[in-house]
Amino acid sequence: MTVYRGCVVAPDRHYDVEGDLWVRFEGELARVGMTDVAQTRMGKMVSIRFKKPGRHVAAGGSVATVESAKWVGPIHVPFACEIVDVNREAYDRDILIANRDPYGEGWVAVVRPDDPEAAKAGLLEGEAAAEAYRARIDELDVNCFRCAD
Amino acid sequence: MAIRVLDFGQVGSLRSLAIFHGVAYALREEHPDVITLTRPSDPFVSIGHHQDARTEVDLDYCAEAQIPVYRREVGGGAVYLDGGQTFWHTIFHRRRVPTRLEEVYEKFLAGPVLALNRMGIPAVHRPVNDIQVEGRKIGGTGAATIGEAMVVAGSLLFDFNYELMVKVLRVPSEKFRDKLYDTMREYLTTIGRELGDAAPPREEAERILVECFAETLGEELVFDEPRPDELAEIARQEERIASAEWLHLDGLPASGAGVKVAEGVHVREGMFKAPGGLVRATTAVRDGVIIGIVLSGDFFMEPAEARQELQDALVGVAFRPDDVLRAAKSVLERVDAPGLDAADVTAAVLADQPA
Repeated sequence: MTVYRGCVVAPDRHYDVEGDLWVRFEGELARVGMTDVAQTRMGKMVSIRFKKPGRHVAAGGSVATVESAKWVGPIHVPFACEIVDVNREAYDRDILIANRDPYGEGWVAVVRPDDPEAAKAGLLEGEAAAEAYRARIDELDVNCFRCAD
Repeated sequence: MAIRVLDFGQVGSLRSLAIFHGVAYALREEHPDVITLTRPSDPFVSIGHHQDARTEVDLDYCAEAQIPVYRREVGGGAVYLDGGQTFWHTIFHRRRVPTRLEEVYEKFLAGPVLALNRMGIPAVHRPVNDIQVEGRKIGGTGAATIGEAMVVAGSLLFDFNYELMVKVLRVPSEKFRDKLYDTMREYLTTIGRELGDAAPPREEAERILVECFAETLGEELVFDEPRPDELAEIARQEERIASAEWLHLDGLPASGAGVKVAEGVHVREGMFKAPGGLVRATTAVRDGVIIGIVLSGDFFMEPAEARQELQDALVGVAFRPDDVLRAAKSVLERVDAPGLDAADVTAAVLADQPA
């Protein structure tokens, strides 16, 4: 696991570094969520709205919109896919779940990529992802933190 | 590329919302960035991107009063707006704004703050996104990613209708409405209230704003007309924003922070069923300290002035269980309040706190 300026880059998944999105491929499906950098930049979440499972999302489209005290915006997925499941229950229970556990309980959606191999090819993993994230964290001048309570 | 200023002047309320959404959705990286100005000709209620219209707004009252309700793609709470405001929106390509949101606000609020200063109002930017005058808010701001654009939204608040603002909201009780009204009057100010007769005419204030955006952004601003593709997108957005489907999107409720009046100022309501009766606490909190509280319900206290005494004892106290408990105890241990102890009062005061 890479930790740089307090920001965790979990090793077991792919990343869209510019979009601050993690993607974990699970067979023909992919679970997606916000990275540590994403939740830190956004600050404490106050709301989230999910797109409905069954919907098809074009490359660059969004699976959800999130709101914090200072910003509203979409969570983009860089590849075309169908939404299979969303993590509504976890966010219903605890809207800060992504601020506490962005790589675990705070996942956002499970999608079925139209073309998993092409989806993977557009993402970074392993040391390449860690290296790109270190550069991004420096560029953003961000130090990550999580909600503790 | 010079920044384009699109001054749409006075437009209908629906169009005032559709304009910034449409210009944002039409923006591509090769286009110059844009600042829009609009003034609504008629009153309306704007709800935050993720708010539930039925929960937040008294839709029956709005229908009766012919006040339309629209959802915006910017966050925050429901707000009553009318011709007393000029809306400004900075619509910049997301690759041309600072990466940190705090810096985005610093960059785009500098112009409006300078404009208010130039009009004679000692406004300051209170991070993250309030513009305040001696602790009172003079218009809220918000940021949203819309299409490829980072939009920062704000207003020149010439006048504000506090009465209608609290009428259009769905609130838990009339006491809450009264407390909200008082707190808004105290913590939300306007250009008119600050300057009285010395307030500049609307057109002059808007001219100052554009001049100050140019100065603080350090770039050339040119007045321009909307492109055909922008007008087409604005028309599409008008249709979408007017639709019942968009208004009634389901959303998760925001965490239980009550109604935000200004940065650090909230009005909230909590209830607790004590053995001696229901205790309802309507509390105004500023920066974590209780600045006003009304206790109501069907509990009994003697002497008659004990309830006021208890309220007075809680003002100035930190909005934390230990502090509230201590203050409540100081009164309740010397008055007659059957079935009501300090822990019950504390539970009511803090009842809407998120777990």
